[in-house]
Amino acid sequence: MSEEDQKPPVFEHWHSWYMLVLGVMLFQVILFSWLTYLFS
Amino acid sequence: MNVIDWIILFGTLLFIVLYGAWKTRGSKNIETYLKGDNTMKWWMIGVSIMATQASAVTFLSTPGQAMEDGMRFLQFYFGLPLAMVIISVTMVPIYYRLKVYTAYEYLEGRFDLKTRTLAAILFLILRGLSAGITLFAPSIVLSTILNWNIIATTAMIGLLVIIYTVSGGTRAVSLTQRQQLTIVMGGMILAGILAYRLLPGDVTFGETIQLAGELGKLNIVTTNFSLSDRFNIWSGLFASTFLFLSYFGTDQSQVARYIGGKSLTESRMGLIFNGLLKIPMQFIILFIGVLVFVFYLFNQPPVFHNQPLRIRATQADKESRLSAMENQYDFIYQQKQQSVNSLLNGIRKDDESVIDQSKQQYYSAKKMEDSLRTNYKAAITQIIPSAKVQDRDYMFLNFVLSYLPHGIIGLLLAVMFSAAMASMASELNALASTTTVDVYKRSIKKEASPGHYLRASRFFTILWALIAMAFAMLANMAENLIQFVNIVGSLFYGTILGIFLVAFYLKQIRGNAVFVAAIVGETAVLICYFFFYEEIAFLYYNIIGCVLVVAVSWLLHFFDKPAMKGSGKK
Repeated sequence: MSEEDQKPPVFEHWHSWYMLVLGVMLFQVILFSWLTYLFS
Repeated sequence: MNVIDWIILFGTLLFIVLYGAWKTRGSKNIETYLKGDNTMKWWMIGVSIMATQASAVTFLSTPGQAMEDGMRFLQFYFGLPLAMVIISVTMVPIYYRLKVYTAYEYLEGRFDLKTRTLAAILFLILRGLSAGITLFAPSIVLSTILNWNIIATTAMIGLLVIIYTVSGGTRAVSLTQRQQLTIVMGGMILAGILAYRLLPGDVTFGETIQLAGELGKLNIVTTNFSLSDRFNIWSGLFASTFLFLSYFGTDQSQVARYIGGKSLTESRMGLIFNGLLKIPMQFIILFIGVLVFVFYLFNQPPVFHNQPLRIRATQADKESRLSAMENQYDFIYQQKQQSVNSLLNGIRKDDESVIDQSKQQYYSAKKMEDSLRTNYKAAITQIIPSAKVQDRDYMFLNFVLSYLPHGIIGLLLAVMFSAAMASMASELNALASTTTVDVYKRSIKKEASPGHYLRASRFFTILWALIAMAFAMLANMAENLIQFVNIVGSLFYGTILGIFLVAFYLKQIRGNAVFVAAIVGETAVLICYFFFYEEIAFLYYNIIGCVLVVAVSWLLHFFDKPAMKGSGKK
């Protein structure tokens, strides 16, 4: 295995798709918390 | 079941198997067989990832879980999108750069052969056990419901999977999973719509939701923290993230799904697809359970959901104890229905005092019902001592068979068989590639032609299928075996993830230290399982195993540098 291959993975950049996934995740947690509050 | 159901069931299954085998016929090289020739598009990868994770147990048990415990199981998946992003950013580029066939190949380059073999063997134990349970759990339920022989049911699922998995390898697995997931989700959504349409005509959708909410079934987010509580927002966001990092990042049955992508971007997009859709998909399945729960507020549910067993026990019950309890049950249901009607009136009038009073009546009737059901199950065990009386997994399928129209019944059974086949195919494929690449090719027969390794992969696919089938046929279902399918992963994933995290981020640590740390971590997790099962919920095993491997390997490296410095490449 070369030196290049052994490099730890580097966080490249805030790709917009990653932002979307995390945004949707946060939105879902908030939405479900609100629904739980609303209907219980 | 009538002739239409049988035609739909067998037509669907045969179409999938023949399509998969025909489309991938003539797979002649090991690269194509194990990695799918790097032709997979992002959406195919995403579908394949989702179909691999969702086994038949998901669709049999989850609606029943919602009917009994509400929707809080959804929190289990809250950490999944975060895990998808972390894996896309960190692990996928490494697998691509090294052009590996299995995740464990990377560990030899980074550490040494023994660490690679240890991780591969942990995986083989974990996945081999899971493949047996993946096959056993639906076989026991479907054979009981359909009154089939368990051995015939298990053999049928196993043989159908062998046909296309052995012939087409990874590509056949992914191709068939497209159809399987379409059938599974289409069938489940249709069942949900029909369950709603079976409700009394004057009950609106809003009232359905309010009824479920008032009776505690919309408890999606629970914030009480307890180490012994399996599903709350904390275990979902933190412990589950570790589980999913390990499952999607280091379990070959998932890694194989995305390393066969057309490019790095396609693989990452496939994981993101899963991150976006997994929670909504689980929400739909749980919500179907809630709709069936509301349906059973207006229609009397059976006292015991495993109908064939109930009938057998009733026939053998000479003292008519079961019939007497069923009469009592009818009476309790009438009380329960009165409280539900009163609750519905309270909701319609928006009258809090009526709602509270009706809920009290409902819960007191429910308490009597629960106690009667417990006694009923105990009586069945006395009449038939070998009977397994856990009936949660039968709730949804029993509803389907009793209330849905013909044709749809066949489709829903095809859903269960398809889901079992989809996840089993991925598991067999991963078990075969890990056995071939990490054990056979690396340590047993090092120099042979690609054709030889292709034949070996096919042989190991059949061998693992036979092991899974033998396990499923011989296993005697423990009461908690279906829960065990989730627990068994958590027993090993923490350790495997710890090894990979050290490999990625603690560059100075070498093979000896991580090998010892992995054994310490795995022992600690097994101690938690055998001695502290009640105190520590299984999701936390993932954190315990992972943190111990990282911490112990670092400590060993720090305190005993000469001995631990060995075994590993600079």
